[in-house]
Amino acid sequence: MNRRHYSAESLSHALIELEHEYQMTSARFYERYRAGERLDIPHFTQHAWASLYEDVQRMTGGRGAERGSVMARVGHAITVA
Amino acid sequence: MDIWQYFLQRQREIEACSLTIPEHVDLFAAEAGDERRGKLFGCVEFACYPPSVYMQVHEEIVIEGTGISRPRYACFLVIDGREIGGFERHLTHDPAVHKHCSGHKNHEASPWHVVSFKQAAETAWEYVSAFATPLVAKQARS
Repeated sequence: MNRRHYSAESLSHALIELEHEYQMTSARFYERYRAGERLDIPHFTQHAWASLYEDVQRMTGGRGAERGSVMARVGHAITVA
Repeated sequence: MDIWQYFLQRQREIEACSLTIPEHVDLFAAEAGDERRGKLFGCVEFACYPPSVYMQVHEEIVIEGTGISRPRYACFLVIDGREIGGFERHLTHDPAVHKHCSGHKNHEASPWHVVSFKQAAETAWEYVSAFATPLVAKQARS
């Protein structure tokens, strides 16, 4: 088994992909998720998105990961709905 | 037990459930800087079924002393692009532990009890056996 690790930065990479796909910031998504809004997003994706967002917040003390370096690697900007 | 030993146990459990981890998926990962925490994140496939039949898995693992907990988990079955349903535990939900898909209507969530991965896999197998087409049947048709 490969000994893989995740970090706040690697999880942020996934958050950016989700934000891009669903045209919504993670903070906005999380607010709507917590409010129990019905979202046109598969349940597993909602669970994963909320969980990864919580992880990044926990791992960075609520600051979020350094977006600049993540964005540079992802190679695209996100659009906020 | 450290998290890597635990992950090895879980890998064997997955194989015992007749599930496979696709080659491109790194299902297990520990938290950088704190290996008391880790995740299962990715998908597992059903033996003798095509890759379009799979279960999405996310489990947060926390090791405290000799105890291991799963504060958040989600196991959802997907068949041919359709999310059939699954089991979930997430504290932001009320109730935190629930299942989706009662079979009565889409997107329905119902209170449920904590399920192990093995129990989720057994339920998924029931749906797969009933609704998915195994590889042998697909090959015979083509």
